[in-house]
This record gives sequence, C-alpha cells and structure tokens, in this order.
Amino acid sequence: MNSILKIIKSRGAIVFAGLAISVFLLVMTGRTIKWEVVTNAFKSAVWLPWVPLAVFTYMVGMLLRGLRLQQLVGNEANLTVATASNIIAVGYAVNNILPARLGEFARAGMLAERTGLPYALSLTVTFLERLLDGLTILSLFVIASFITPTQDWMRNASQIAALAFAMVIPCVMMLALFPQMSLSLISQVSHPFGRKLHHKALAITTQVTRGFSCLRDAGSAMVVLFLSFLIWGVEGLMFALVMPCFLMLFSPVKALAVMSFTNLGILVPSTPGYLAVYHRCCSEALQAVTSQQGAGMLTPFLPADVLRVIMPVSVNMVDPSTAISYAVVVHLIFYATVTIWGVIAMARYGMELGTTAAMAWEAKPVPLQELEAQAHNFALITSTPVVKNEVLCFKKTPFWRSLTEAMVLPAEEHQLPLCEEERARALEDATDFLCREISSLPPKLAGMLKIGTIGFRVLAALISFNTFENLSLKRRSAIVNAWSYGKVSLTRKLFKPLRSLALLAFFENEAVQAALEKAAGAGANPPLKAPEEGAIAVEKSEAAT
Amino acid sequence: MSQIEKKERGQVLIIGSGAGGTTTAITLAEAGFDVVVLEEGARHPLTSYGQPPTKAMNQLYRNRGMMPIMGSVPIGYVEGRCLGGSTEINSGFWHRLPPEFLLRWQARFGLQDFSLEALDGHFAWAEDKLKVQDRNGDWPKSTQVFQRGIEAMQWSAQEVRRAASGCVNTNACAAGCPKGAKQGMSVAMVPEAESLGARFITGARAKLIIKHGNKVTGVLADITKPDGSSDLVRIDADYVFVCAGPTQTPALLRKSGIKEHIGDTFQIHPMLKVSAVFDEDIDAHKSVMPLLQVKEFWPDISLGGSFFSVGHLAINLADNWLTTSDVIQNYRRMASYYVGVRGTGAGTVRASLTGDGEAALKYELSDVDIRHLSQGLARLSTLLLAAGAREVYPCVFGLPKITSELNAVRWLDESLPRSSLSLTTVHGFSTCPIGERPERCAADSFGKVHGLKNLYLSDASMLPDSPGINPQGTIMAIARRNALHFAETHNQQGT
Ligand SMILES: Cc1cc2nc3c(=O)[nH]c(=O)nc-3n(C[C@H](O)[C@H](O)[C@H](O)COP(=O)(O)OP(=O)(O)OC[C@H]3O[C@@H](n4cnc5c(N)ncnc54)[C@H](O)[C@@H]3O)c2cc1C
Repeated sequence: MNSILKIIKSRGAIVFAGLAISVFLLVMTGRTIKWEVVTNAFKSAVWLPWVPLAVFTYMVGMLLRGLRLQQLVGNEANLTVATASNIIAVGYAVNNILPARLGEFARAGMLAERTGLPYALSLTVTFLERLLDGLTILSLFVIASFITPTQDWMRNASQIAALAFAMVIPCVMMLALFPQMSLSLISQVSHPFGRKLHHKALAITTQVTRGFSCLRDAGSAMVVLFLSFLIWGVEGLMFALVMPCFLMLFSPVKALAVMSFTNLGILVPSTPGYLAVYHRCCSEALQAVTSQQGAGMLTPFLPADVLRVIMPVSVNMVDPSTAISYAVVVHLIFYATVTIWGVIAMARYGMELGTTAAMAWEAKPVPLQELEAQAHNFALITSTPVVKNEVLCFKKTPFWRSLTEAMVLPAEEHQLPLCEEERARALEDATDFLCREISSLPPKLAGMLKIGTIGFRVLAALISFNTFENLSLKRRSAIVNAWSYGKVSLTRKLFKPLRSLALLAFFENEAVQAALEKAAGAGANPPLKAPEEGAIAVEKSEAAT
Repeated sequence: MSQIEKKERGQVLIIGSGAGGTTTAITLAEAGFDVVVLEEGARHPLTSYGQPPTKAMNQLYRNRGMMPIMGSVPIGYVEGRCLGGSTEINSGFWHRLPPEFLLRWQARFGLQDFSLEALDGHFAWAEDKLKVQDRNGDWPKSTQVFQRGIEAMQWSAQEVRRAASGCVNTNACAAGCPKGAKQGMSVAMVPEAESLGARFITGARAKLIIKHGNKVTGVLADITKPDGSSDLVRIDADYVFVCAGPTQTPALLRKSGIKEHIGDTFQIHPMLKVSAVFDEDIDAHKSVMPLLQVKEFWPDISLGGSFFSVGHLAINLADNWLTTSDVIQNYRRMASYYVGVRGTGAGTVRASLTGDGEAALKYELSDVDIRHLSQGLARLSTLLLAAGAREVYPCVFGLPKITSELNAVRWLDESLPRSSLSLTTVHGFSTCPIGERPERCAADSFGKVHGLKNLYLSDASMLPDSPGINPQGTIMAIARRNALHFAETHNQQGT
C-alpha cells in the first residue's frame, strides 16, 4: 500500500491525465455507439475457431517476447524462455492492473530478481525492449498503411509516423554505433542549459548507449530485429484472426495496420489496461482500413491469388458499432490472456501485487548523489552495472581450436615430447589466448579480421568440400601454410598476427617449455643447417618487385 | 598545507599516471596544489607482477597488447594501462636528450627556455627519483656476446644506464618487475606524490573534456568500481593536464573537439628484431635483456638488445616458421636483438568514429626508414656473426636466416621489401607537439594547449619530434620543467 501511494505521489500527474483521457473517450464513444448494433454483433459473432486461435497466437507472441528477452540478456544471465515470458507477462499484467505503466518497472524488478542482474541493467534492458517494440510497430504501421488503401487521416498519420521513424532511426543508429560521439554531442548541446539538465541528458545517453551495445554486433542485432518483427507480425495475426468473428474477411495486412495504430495509440496516458484509448484507436483504425477497396500499392507487385488471401477485396467498411465490438474482443483476448498469465506467474514465484509494486519502486534508478568517497568536485551522473561474462567477438569455437593446432604444431619430425593431455591443454590455452587477444583489437580491425577469417573458411570449405575444422591436421596445416606463406601479401598479413599470438601462448606454456628443455637435455638440438640461398632468392625476387 | 589553502591555490586534474602524469602530479602537489590523478588502469601490488607474458598482457597492457599501427607495413605497438603507465612494463633504459635534438627542436618548433642548462636540473631530479645508475655486477651473457661483436667491428657503443637499481635479472621487465627493482612510477614516485596529498584514482577513464568558451570546466570520466560496475562522473577542476600518453592524449583531445595540430604528426621508432643462435649457452630467458646500444650509426640507426622469452622467440621465428620451427629447440643458445631507426615517415592518431572513440593509429614508413632498417639489419647481422653467432634469424618473410657476413652486407645496398617486414615499436610520441610555432604546434613551449586557458598536456605526445633515444627521461624532464613553470606562474598570479 505504502509503495502504491509513493507511486501515485511521484507520478500523480500522469495517473490523473490517464484517468481523465479514458473517461473522456469513454463518454465520447458511448455517445456515438448504437448499443443494439453492438448487442447484435455479439449475438451473431462466430467465436469458433477464431477466438481460441487468437488466444493461442497471442500466447505464441508472448513466448517469442521471452525468446527475445533471453537473447538480450544472453551475455549476462542464464534465463529460460519460459521464465523470460513469465517476466514479460508479469509486466503486462501489472500495467493492466496498476496505473502509470508501472508494469515496466515491475518487469525490470522481476528480471533483476530472477537473474541476479542489477536493477539498473534490468531497467536498461526493459527500456531497450520497449524501444525496439516502438520502432517495429512504427515501421509496421508505415508499411501496412502505405500498402493498404485507407482513409486520408490514417495516411496522414502514417506519414507523420514515417517522419518520426526517419528521425528516430538515425538517432538509434548513432547511439548504438557511435556512443562516444553521441556523448560528446549531447554534452555540447545540453551544457548551456545548466548542470542539472546536462547531467540528466548524459545519464540518459549513457544508459541508452549501454543498452544498445548488444546491437553493435551485427549477428545479434539481426536476431533481435528479426524477433521483434516476428513478435509484432504474430500480434497482427491475432488481430486478423478476430476479424472473421464479425464476418469480416481475414486480412493480415489490414489487421497489421489496425494492430500497429492501436499500439501506437496506447502511448497516450490512460487507465490501467488502456481502457477506452485502446478501443477507440482500434475501432477507428479498423474503420479506416476497411473503408477503401482494393489492394492498394501492392497490386502491381503481387499475383492476384496472393493478394486475395492477404488483402481480400470484398471488404465493406465496418460500421462503428461492429468496429467497437471487434475492439472489445481483441482487447479482451489481450487483457485476459496476459493478466491471467501474469497473475499465475506471480503466484508461482510467490509474489503479491503489493510486492510487485514495491519491486517496481525498488527498480527505479537511484537518485543522483555526490560521490562521498572522492571529493566535493565529483558529481555522480549515472551508474552502469557489471557485465558478468566478458563478451568476446571471437569466441573459442572448434574452428579456432583447429586453426591454432594447424598454426603452432612443429613439423612431425620435430614434435616435442609432450603427452596427449599436455598437448591438448597447451593447445586449449593457446586458443583461449588467441581468441581473447584478437577480441581486444580495435573494433575496425576486429571487423576486418572477421571478414578475413570468414573468407578463409569459405574458401577452405570450397576447395576441400568439408569445413576446416573437420579436415585432418595435415590438410589443415597445408591450407594454413598456403595462406601464411603464399605470394599474396594480404593473406600473409592476415595470418601473421594469428600465428604469432598462438605461438606465443603455446611456447609460454609450462609443459611445452619443460618438453623443450627435455629435448635440449637429450641432445636433441637439431644440427644447424647450411645457409639457404633458395630462400634469399625468393626474397631477391620480391625485392625486385 | 591545509585542504583550504590547497583549494585556494587551485584544483588540478591530471589524466594519466605514466611518466608525464606522475611527474606533473608530484611537482604540483609539492607546490601546494590540490591534485587528483585519474588513471584508467588498475593499481597492482608488486606481488602480482612478473606473470608470464600472456597473463601480463591482460593485466598491464592497453587492449591486451593489441594496438597495431596500420599502414602498408602494419607495426606492432604496445603501451601500458595501469597505475604508472608504460613505465611499469618498460625496461628502464635511460637517456638524456642529446644536445643535437635540443637545438633541432628549438630551431624547428621555436621552443622557449629549452637550453641544455635549463633541462639539466630536471634530468638530474628525475634520475635521482628513479635511482638511475650504471649496472653494478657482471653483464649477462647476452650482453657479453654483443660486446664481443662490437669489439670485433670496432664500433662506438655505450652501456645504457637504467632506472633499475638492484636489478636481479628476473627478466620480467615487460611483465612488471616483481622485485620492485625497476623504478616504474608506481614504485618510485606515486607513493611520494600520495604522501604530498595527490590522490590517484585508478580504474578512472576520462571520456570527455568539457569546455565552455575558451575554458575547460571539467572532465567526464567512467570510474570502475571493485565489483565491476561503473559510475559516470563529472569532475570539475581549475586546471586540467592531459598526460594519457602518445596515443590516448590526442584521441581524448580530438573526441572532445580539440583538434588543432592534434594527432597529425605521430612519430615512432620502428624496430626490426632478429634472433641469433650461438655455440654457447646464453640463457637469455633467465636474464635481463642486453644492455649495450651501438651508437656508431646514431641518430638514424641504433642497434641494441631485445626482450627474450621462448614465446617471444617463437614470434620472431614466425615469419618463416616452415623452415625455422626446429630452431626453437636451441632456445638456450639464443638471444634477441633489434635494429631501431629514428622514424622519418608520417603518422596520425585519430579517435575512431564508431565505438568508444578508440585511438586509430596510422604510420607510413618512408623510403628512408626502409633503407635504414635494411642497413641496420646488415650491420646487426654482421656484428652478431662476428660475435660468434652461427645463424641470424630476422623477422623478415622470405629471409629465414643469414649465415655469413657476405649474405648480411647485401642489405647495405639493397632494400628489404616492405611487404616482407615484421616490425614493432614501443616508442610513440609527437602527436601534440609543443612550441611557439602555431602553424605546427598544438601547445605552447610549456604545454598549454593553444586556444584554451587552462588545458595543458605533459607526456610523450608533447615531444615535438622523434628524439632518437629511449624517451622516458626526456618526457620526465620536460614534464618537470613544465609543471614548475606552471606552479611559478600560478603562484605569482595568486590563483
Ligand atoms: C614495452 C615498453 C618498453 C619500453 N622501454 C623503454 C625504455 O627502456 N626506456 C625508455 O625511456 N622508454 C621506454 N619505453 C617508452 C616509455 O615507457 C614511454 O615513452 C613513457 O612511459 C611514456 O610516458 P607517458 O606519460 O607519455 O605515457 P604512459 O607512461 O604510457 O602513461 C599514460 C597513462 O595514461 C593512462 N590513460 C590513457 N588514457 C587515459 C584516460 N582516458 N583516462 C585516464 N587514464 C588514461 C594510461 O592507462 C597510462 O597509464 C618503453 C615502452 C614500452 C611499452
């Protein structure tokens, strides 16, 4: 109770505005609705199989959200998809029950509690998820309302959305790819507005860039983006599945437009569960997209059969009362499913609503304080949490193991007296060292090295009809040597640092040094050979070029 | 002096605790300023020093030692990132700036108050602090054979003094001296600076210098706490000294929007290493590196001894591993040496646009550099063969070994092909040259950055040009001179 009061106090204005807007829209909608049409629509609605299918689809969407959350925290915590989905469901459920979007804080709180991640990092992750959602919905809205014929107001709205998208995307790219530049820029811009604002701006920038750091790796960025589109595509499918309930034709593209507009609409403050705002946005969007016939901008690009499935042409404009009925059902499916799921999850984890609210309060960032331990001229701007596992951009995989082995092992006749276990250990350590070292290269060089090694692997696979790591040591050594000591200076430059690092670690290994010592003690020092003129001739010809 | 008196004199924030930063800190703390030093790396106890190279690289080196300088010949470069900076991992070889360079710099950069006499006292001060001295005791074997070669060639050479009193041959200079004999800043000067009231905050990385008009108001820094989390803090100061080293000082200044002659003139001493095998046991892996430097061809070419471990020997042999891998079994009879040239090429340091604005290093070797490296290789190989080496293995692809003087002297007239060279360097400087020539200098003769009232620099970046010698002594002497000048002028002004 105490915590709820605290929340109301701190976010009182938003809570009040939300309530006022919901009441206003409720009254407005109530005045324009013909209740007998709504009753008829419900009476004549076809519930089966559409509603169960829609509920199922929504639940699939929640699991996908869990999968994305698992990906986002993958480097820092172990989280199953089920737990991640439960955490999200709790957040949604709290949003449906408590005001002021407290669910976002509850979600961060629970994420922290379940994974042991610091609250600040959980908040950053939650913020990143919401931002990804916002961007995905925005782009889906723009795409869907450009390709489906719709009313002017919606087209205008989508143009504004496109503009917002065009403005937000460069900012996101800037924050994700150029964190230092963003910090400098924000510092310069906010500095003249006084210390408090300067610090606030820097704190937000730091947290956002920290959150976005996972997008800097092209691979994980692609996975997260793909999942985001899949999540909201599935949500659009849920909207489409409710259409036939009210004798509308199943139309995924139109449903996508309705879904995205509705979800953008609920950014406006409202009561818990987005009462009235959700309904109004959903019904207006449905009317807008069903008011025009045809397949719009898609006509020239897709075959008629495909168009008939995704954007059926025989749709008539839905009347306002049926549209509201549709909105009520869609909202109910979303509200009931996620709230029940959330409450069950809370019960499972032994939490009560009050505790969740308290957790939400806990999860809020700590207020700024002076760094007492240091000095009066130090001001704390923000804290960023620990990254538990070091993220290496070159992970120790079988490829790197087999490459290390091919690079370091001396020729057969000079093998060191190492037992199998010692040899394996030394190679393992060398691989570990190699991967850590090359992961520490400045990002641009690491990127170039990545491209180089991908090229190497692809070419090695093409000439051997097998992956590099599955080749025999002899074959691997032959390929590596051809690249390391061939005529092409670029491939030599690629392999020089790799071999040097691997050799350094291998020969610094205690067991290897002991074996060398043993070999030397046994008089195994190879006799020194006569000068190799041949090699110098190679050199000479290079010098000539 | 009370805290209030210090505060009245002014708060000085120093970024970096290496040769330049700690010298500045001790001098200004002595003069009564309120000094805070931000050091990005950690404070390591002596007991954690002397680890194997693979561990030390992780512990003490920036980017775990992965900071290649890009160009048509990529050059391996390392620097320290720990309390004390690169002085913790260097070899402590000590030189005073030769008079020739003093004059050259005065003429080319208009350096004021830069005479031999003016610097003498500052060199002496630094030598006293670091107990710089000749070696007492026998030369290690790797030095003895080098001396043999020098005598045979009748070249002029010198035993280099070191800031390593009581060195007991652990061969761990590059991994932090576990005996505390090598006088890195953390041993020789940080404790004294702290006793004078300077505060060293480790794990504190300056991210941005905040400017307002022509004044710097403070610095944004990330302070990493023991649990690994970090705080972004703003630290206000009356004066800021950037002493983050030759690559990080220009990177920090450039990302803070200060770019005039910053990072445009990166200079290095490119080095080509060779390993040689002798008939006798050298056991170079168990002793300090060779202590003699051949000065016959100085300042363009220097020859000297290089760090040796079995792993580093393997790196030296890597260019021709197919033919040289068996040689490693002779490691006890081997030692490594270098040809160092006074770089005359052109280099830059830029802050990368992506990521955290890491320093991007570039250097293009000049044809003269290549000639000098080739001639240096010829001379060093001749010297080593004359000293009794059976074979000399240079870090040159396609040139696995040199076994006769006749093979060696070829490179006096021919140039080694660029694409075959494997070069390294540990000496970087001149990225923010000081002097009174605004068309080529980033700061005035005493390190005050042009165009800003209270921003100074004092580290390897300020050296106007390549000094042709191991640079730590010169950096410390100039840093001392600049800090004393600062203290004098600000005491007079009564700030
Ligand atoms: C392996 C090796 C061997 C060498 N041997 C010799 C030798 O024998 N004799 C000799 O004279 N010279 C030698 N040198 C060179 C000499 O050590 C350097 O020239 C000298 O230390 C440079 O001093 P500096 O103050 O410019 O930088 P450094 O001593 O490198 O100090 C810079 C410090 O600033 C810190 N820093 C950087 N960026 C930031 C930031 N943003 N925020 C906070 N802190 C930051 C770094 O962590 C570092 O501790 C050697 C160097 C190396 C690497």
